[in-house]
Amino acid sequence: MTLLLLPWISWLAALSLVLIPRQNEQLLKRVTLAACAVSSALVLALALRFNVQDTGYQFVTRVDWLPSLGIQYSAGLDGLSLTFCILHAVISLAAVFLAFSVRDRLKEYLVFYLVLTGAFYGVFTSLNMFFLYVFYEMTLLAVYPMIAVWGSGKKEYASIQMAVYTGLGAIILLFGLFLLYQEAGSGIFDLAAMRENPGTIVLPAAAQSRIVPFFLISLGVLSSLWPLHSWAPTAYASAPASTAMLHAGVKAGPYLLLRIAAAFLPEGLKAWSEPLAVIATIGILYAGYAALRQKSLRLMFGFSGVSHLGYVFLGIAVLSAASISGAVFLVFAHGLLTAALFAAAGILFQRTQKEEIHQHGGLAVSSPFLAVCLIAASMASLGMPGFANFASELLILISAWSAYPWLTAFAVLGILITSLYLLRMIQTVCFGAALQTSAFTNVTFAEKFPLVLLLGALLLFGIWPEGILQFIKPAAGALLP
Amino acid sequence: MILTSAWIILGLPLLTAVLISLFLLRSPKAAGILGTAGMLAAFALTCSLIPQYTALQQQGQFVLESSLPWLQAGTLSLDFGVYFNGLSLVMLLVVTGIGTLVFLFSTAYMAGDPGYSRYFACLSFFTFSMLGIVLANNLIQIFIFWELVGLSSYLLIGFWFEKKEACTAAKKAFMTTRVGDAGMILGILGLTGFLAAGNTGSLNFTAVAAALPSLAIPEFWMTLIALGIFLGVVGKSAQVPLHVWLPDAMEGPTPVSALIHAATMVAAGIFLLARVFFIFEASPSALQVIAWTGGITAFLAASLALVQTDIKKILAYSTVSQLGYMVMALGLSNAEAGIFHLTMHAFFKALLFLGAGSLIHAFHSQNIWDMGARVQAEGGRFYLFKAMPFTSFTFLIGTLALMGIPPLSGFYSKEAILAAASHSEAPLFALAMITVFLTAFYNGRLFTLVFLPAKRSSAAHDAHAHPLHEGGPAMVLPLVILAVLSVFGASLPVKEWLAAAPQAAHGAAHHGFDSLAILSLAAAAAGFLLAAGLYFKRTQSLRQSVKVLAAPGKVLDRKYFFDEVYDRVISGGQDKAARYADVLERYAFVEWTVNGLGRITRSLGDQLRRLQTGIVQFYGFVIVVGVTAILYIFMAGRM
Repeated sequence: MTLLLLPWISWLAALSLVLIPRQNEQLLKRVTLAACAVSSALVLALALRFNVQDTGYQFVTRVDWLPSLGIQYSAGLDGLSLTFCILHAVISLAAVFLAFSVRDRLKEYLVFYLVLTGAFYGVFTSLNMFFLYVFYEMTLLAVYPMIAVWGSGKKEYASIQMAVYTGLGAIILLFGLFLLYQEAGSGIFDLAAMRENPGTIVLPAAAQSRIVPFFLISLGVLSSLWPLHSWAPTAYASAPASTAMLHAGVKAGPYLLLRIAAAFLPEGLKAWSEPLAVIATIGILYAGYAALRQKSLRLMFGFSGVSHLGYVFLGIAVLSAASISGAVFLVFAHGLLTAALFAAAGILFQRTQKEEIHQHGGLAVSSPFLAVCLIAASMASLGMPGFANFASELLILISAWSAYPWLTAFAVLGILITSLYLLRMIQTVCFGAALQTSAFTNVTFAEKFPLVLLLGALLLFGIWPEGILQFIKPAAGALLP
Repeated sequence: MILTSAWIILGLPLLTAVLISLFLLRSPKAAGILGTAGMLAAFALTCSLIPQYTALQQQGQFVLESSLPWLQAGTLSLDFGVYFNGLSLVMLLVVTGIGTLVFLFSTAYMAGDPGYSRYFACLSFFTFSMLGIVLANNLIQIFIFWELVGLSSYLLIGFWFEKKEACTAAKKAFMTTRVGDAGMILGILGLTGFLAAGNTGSLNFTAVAAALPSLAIPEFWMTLIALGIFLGVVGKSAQVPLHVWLPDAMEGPTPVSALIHAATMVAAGIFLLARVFFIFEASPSALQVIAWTGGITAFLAASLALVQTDIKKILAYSTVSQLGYMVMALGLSNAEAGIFHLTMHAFFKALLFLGAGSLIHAFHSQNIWDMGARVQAEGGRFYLFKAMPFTSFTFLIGTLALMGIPPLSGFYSKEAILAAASHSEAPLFALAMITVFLTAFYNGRLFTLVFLPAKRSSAAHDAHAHPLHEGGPAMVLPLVILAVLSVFGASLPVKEWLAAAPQAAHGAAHHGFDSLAILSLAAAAAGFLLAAGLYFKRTQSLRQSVKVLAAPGKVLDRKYFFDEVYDRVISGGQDKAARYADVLERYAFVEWTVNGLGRITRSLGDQLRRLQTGIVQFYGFVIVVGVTAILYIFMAGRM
C-alpha cells in the first residue's frame, strides 16, 4: 500500500500548498521540504527492505480503478524501478533546497515542483501501461511552465522548443503503444502479470522490428539522444536550477525504453541495436565537440549531458546483462552528476547573473566551496575514478568492447573531448584572479546541502558500486529473455 | 602480517589527507606535522616489512596477495586488493622514504604560504595514489590509481592557481597524460576482450599471467595491446612524444617537483612496465618500440637540457632523459636494471630538486645566470660553498651521481643499463653513450655557472639585504640523508629484494671496471670538462659568441617544435571539429528543423501563436487525444 501512496505524498502536499496563503513562505517551504523528505525516506526504507534475490516485482499493490474496463492502478518495484526511485529520491531532496531560492511566485513554483516530483514517482512505480503513460505526460506538463515562467534568458523559445519536441515525442510514443496493442492485445497493460507469466506475449520478430523505431524515436527525444537532442541544452540552460536538476537528472527515457521495449520487443531491439550503437557513438563525439564550442556554462553542461547519454545508449545497444547494468548504473550516476552540475551553475548564475564562462574567474578565491564542488563534479564527469561515473562507464566500455570494438574505441576518445572542455572551463571559472568576490561572501546551507548530498552519493557509489549494482544486476538479467 | 601492514601503509596517507581537508584547513602547523608524521609512520612500517619479507623469501615464498571484490557483472569480476612482492617492497621504500623527506623539507619550504594545509592534503593524497599503484593487484586498480595520480598532480602543479602559467601547466599535464591513459584503457579493453573469450573475467595479474599463454592472442593484437598500455607509460613517465608536460610542470612548488620526479608519477610508468612485464614480453615488436622510445627520449631530453636557463627545467629534462634510460632497460628485457636505476635515480634526483629548492629559497630566482651573477657579486668562486655548505656539497654529490661517476650510486645503475644496451642494436647503444656525454655536459654547465663563477672585479657590489644562507634544519636534514643515499645507495640489497625466484647468490653488485665503464667514464669526463671550460669565465650565453650554434640553438629553444605541433593539432583538429559541430547544430538541427517545425506548427493553428497559453493547450490536446485513444483501444478490445 505504501508504494501506491508514494506519488501521492507530493501531490497531497501540492494540494495543501494551494490552501496556504502565499505570504506564509516559511510554511510553504516547510510543507514542500517535508513532502520531499518523507518520500525520500520512504524510498530508502523500501530499498532497505528490498530482497535483491527476487527478480520479480516486490511490494506489489493493486486497486481497481475502472473495474468495468479492468484498468487497475497497480504499483510495484523491481531492481530497475527501485534504482530510478532512489535516483529521484536523492535529486528531488537536493533540488528542493534550490527551489526555495525562487523569488517570484514561490507558491506556484513549489506546487509545480511537487506535481513533477510526484509524477516521476508515479512513472517509476506504476505497473500499468495506462498510468505509466499518464504520469509520463504529467512530467512533461509540469516542466513546461516551470521553464516558461521561472526560467531565464531565452526562456519562451526554449520552453516552446521543448514542448514541441516532447509533445511530438509523446504522440509517437502513443503510436508505438497503439501498434503494440494491435499486435499483442490488452495483455500489454499489466506489466506485473507479464513478468509473472513470461512467454505469454511473444510478438513475431518482423512486427517487433516494425514497432521498435517508434519507441526509439519517442524515448530518444525524451532522453535527448542525438540527433533528437536539440531541445535539451537550450531548455536546461534556461530552466531554474531545481527544474534542470530534476528533469535533466531524472531520465525517464531509458527507464521506459527498458521497461516497455525490452519487455515486449526484445527481438526488435536486437534488430535495431547496431544502428542504435552507431547513433549513440556519433552522439558522444558530436555533442562533445558541440560542448567544446559553447560559451555559456549551462549550455555546455547541456551538451555534455547529451554526450554522456550516448554511453547509456551504447550500453543498451549491446543488450547483455552486464552492459544494461552498466547503462542503468550510468543513468543513475549521470543523473546525480547532472543535478550537481546544474546546481553549481545555477548558484553561480543566481549570484552573479552572468551566463558565459569567460565572465567568471577566480572562483577558487572568492568561493572555495563552490569551486571545489565544480571541480569535483567536472572530475566525475570526465571519468575520474572514485566517482560512480567511472565505474559505470568502465562497465559499459568493457561489455561493449566485445560487441563493437571500433565504436567503443571512439567512445573512449569521447572521454578526451570531455576532459578538454571541462579543464578549459575550470581554468577560466575557478582559477586566476578573483572576480566578483562580494557575490560570494557566504554560501548558505541551502546551497551547500544539495551539492554535498549529490557529490557524496556519487563518491559513495563510485567507491562501492555494488551498493547500487546489487539492485540493478538481477533486474537487468530478468529484462533479457 | 605483511598484508595487513600493506593495507595500513596504503591507508595512512589517505587518512591524513582526509583529516587535513576536513579539520585542519585553518591550522597549518598541525596539518604539516600530521602529514609528515603519517608519511614517517608509513615509512617505518615499510621498513619493518624488510626482515619479514626476506624471511619469506628464504622459505621460497615471493608473492602475497589479498583482495576484496569491487565490481562484478556478468563474467566480469574486478577486485580491489593488495599484491606484495619484492618489486612492491622496493617501490614502497622509495615512495614512503623519499615522501617523508619531501614532507619534512616542505614544512620549511612552504612556511607562510596561505595554502599550506591544502598543500599537505594534496601531497598526502598524491602519495596515497602512488601507493595504490604500487600495491594494486589488477590492471583496473592500477588504472584507477593511475588516474588519481593524474588528479593529484593536477592539483599540485596548479597549486598556485592564481598564476596563469601554473594553471596552464596543470591543465597541460593532465590532458597530455590523459591521452596516454586513453591508449592504456584501450589496451586493457583489448585484453579484456580476449580474456572474456577465454572465460577469464578477472584482471588480476596472477589470473592474466596464467591465462595469457592459453589465449593464443595473435601477434598483431598482442602488439597493439602492449603498445596501448605502453602509451599510458609514455604519458605518465614523460616519454617522447608525450614528454611535453613535465618541464612545464615545474610551475608547481619545488618539493612537489622533487616528489614527482623521484618517487611518484613518473616512476609509475616504469613500475607499470615492470609489473606487467609478462604482457610486453609476449610481443617482441612492442619491446623493440619500447626500447627505442626510451633511447630516443634519453637523447632528445638531454639535448634539450643543454639550452635551459631555469635550474628546475634543466633538472626536469634530465629526469625525462633518465626515465628514457629506464624505459630502454625494460624494452631490452632487463627489468632489474630499470628498477635499480629508478631507485638510485630517486635518491639523487630528489637530492638535486630539494637542493634546487634550497637555492631558489635563498636566491628568490630560478635562473642559473641570475644565480651566477649574484654569486659573482657576493664573493665569486667557492663563495657558495662557504655561504651554503650543505646545499653546495650535497648538490655536487647529486651532480656526480647523475653523471654516473664511481663510486656513487648512479654509476652502478647506469652501467647496468649501458651494459644491456651494448648487447642490443648498435645505434641504440650509440644513442645511450651520446646521452652520457650530454648529461655530463649540461650538469657541468649548470654547476659551473651557479657554483663556480669568477669574482667579477667590476661587479657592482650592491649589498643584498640578506646574505645567502641555508634554509634551516628541516631543509638541510633531507639533503644530507639523500646525499648519503646517493653515495652508498648502490650497496642496498635492492636486487636481492627484487629477486622473484630463488637465485644463486649474486657476485659483485656491479661488473667492476670493464671496457664499457671506461668508455662511459671517458664520455662523462669529456662532457663535464668541456662544459666547465666553456662556461668557466662566461657571463653570457655561449651562442652569442659562437655563431655556428645559433641555428641548432633555436631548434632546441623551440623544443623540437613539439608544443607548436600539438597546439596546431588541438586548434586545427579539435577546435575545428567543434566549430563544425556547432555550425551543424545551429543550422541543421535548430534553424531548419526545430525552428522550421515551429513555423509549421505555428501556421497550423492560430492558438499556438500566443505562446504562453497556446502551448499548454497543445499539451492538453495531446493528453486528451492520448487518453481517449487508449481508452478507445481498450474498450474496443473488450467488445
